[in-house]
Amino acid sequence: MERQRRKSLLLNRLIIRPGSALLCLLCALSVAQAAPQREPFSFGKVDLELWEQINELDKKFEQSGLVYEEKALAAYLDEVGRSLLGPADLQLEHVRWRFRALRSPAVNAFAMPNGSIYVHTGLLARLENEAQLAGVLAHEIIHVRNRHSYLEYRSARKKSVAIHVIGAVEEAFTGLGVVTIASGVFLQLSMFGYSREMEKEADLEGLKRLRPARYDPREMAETFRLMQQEFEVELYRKLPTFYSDHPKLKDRVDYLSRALDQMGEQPPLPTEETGGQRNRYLSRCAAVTRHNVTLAIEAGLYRTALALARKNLEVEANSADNLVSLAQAFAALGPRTAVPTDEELSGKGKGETRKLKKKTTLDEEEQALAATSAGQELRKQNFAEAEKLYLQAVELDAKHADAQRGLGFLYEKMKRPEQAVAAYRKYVDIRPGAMDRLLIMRRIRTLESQNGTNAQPAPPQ
Amino acid sequence: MTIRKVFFTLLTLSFVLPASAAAQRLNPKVKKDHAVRRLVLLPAKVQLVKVGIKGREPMEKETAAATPVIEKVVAQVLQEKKFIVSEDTFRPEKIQDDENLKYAVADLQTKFDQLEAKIAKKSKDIEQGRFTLGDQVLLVNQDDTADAFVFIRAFGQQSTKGKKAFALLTLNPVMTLLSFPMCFVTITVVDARTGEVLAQSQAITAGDVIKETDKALTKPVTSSLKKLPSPSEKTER
Repeated sequence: MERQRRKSLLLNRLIIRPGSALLCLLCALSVAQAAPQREPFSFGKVDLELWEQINELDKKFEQSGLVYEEKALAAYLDEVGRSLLGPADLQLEHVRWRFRALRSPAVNAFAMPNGSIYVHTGLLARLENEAQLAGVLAHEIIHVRNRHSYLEYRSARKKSVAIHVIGAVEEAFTGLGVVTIASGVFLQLSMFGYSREMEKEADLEGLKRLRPARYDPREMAETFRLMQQEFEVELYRKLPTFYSDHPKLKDRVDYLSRALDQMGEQPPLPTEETGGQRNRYLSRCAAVTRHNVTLAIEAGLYRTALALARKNLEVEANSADNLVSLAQAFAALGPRTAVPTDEELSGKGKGETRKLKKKTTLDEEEQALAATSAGQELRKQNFAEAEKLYLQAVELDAKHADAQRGLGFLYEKMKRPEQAVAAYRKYVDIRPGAMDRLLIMRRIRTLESQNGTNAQPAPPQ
Repeated sequence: MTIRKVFFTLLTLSFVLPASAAAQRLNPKVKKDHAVRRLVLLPAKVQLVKVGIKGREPMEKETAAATPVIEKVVAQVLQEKKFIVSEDTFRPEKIQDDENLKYAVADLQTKFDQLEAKIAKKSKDIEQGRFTLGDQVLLVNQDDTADAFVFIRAFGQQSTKGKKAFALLTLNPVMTLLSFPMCFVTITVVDARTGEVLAQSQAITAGDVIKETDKALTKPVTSSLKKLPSPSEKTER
């Protein structure tokens, strides 16, 4: 009897109580997530508060050096963005349209409800033509136009109330408060992007804006293919971001293709026009792509940096800047292969990399990889490639300061101190007012004081 | 039920309370008679949020107002310890027109955040001099006037009345504890020439950091930097 009572108690504790709590949670969420009924939007107190917060955030981005400020690119983004706006968009209350690049190697873009649209440098570096950029901007314009941020924010607040109530119910059942803790994570995830319906709406309405602005709408689907390219080993499940994963990219390509079919056969744009758009995009985005290569290296995305630098060089092979950028990527790649190996992509390999990354800093990780014989061999090859590219850049432009600087760092890593000092000296001669003059002079002093042959490399930059 | 609640309260307290005592880490280089005298504060990264029944909401306006006050408090505490502190070298309005410097400061802050994630996992290793930002720090120390940079990170929260009432109503100890205002400040001192992390401390306050930033933070910041010795008056770097 006692045994049966215990069994029933255990069943109650382990299955029935948490089960009912979970059921309640699901019910509440389904109520909270029910498709919103769209009424004409009017600003409420909460929306105005959000608008004010967003304006502050916008200012913060600007002040903290996160906005890429190259004037030519800023003008270009503005020109493409404005070509997609209709007269009604310009009348929107509390919206000031701004199209800007954000200094981040992530492949993303997002819109703030106040009309600021940010495209990450990581996405700009991946795109191949102006129509693709227009597709991204059109999508984000629709988010602003249809007030998606405000609607999503209102919905998130409702969800949060539901979760709090459920948390209390669950607390009464189990006394653990697990739902409240887990719901925080859930809520964050759901707030990280717009709802599936809103994303679809932005895609489909955005698509309609492309052709009148003389862009090929098919390029919108092509953008998703470019975004799916993965150069690094994916160690963790990606968080959904505003533009990349919500809904799944494959679904987006599918419904966009259907929408294109429904739009019917349209006369293709003249080849000169699309070609011109491609060339214009690639030439305007060459500098930002190089800038993004540097950001990717800093973030430890060495393979991504290499792939993007290669792409840039393919567009303009005789550019000393592009050669230097690729050389930097090879030098940073060091003891790694250009693409992930099968071993790295296996479950075991990923586990080991995760462990290594968890425990070590980027410099320590580099040292650990370079300690293996395979790592040493790869390092040698990649450094040789980097040297070749730097020298090609110098051949094209003998006064290319960044090539000399890069050579200095490379020779230092290769333990060739005299050559490093010579390259550093050339760099400071070419660019006497360089921002990193002090850094370079200290490196020269360190190398010279180490008396050449037994020179130790200076601390990594 | 009561035992479980007590257990969870103790568990939460064990995470929260010892942090201020345990989190003062010093690199041997600054332990005694050190010559790190001139400190430059990098713009603090502060995040204040309002936790209400309708979720967590950012407080960007309040954050913007509290940030210079937090910087000021840290600067004052360090000045009292005989450091020469410059708190406005990298203020956004000062470096507004210098695009490269603005990027360099932003990149250094990002690099520090990446490193901070590793430090947080094993802050004890600061005592072995394991962590460094590299000589990239020299990009923002162009005239060599700084001995060290100070990175400040702060996170604060304040609950709405509704949230507090709800927490009390449910008798949930964790929720009740978390509904009080609190603020965590991490102060990290980094060598301005080599990039080596020299010291790190954490201050926690249960005061109202939004309304009375200065008052709520001065005491905890002072005690969090207690172990950091004043610079030697004799030696010059």
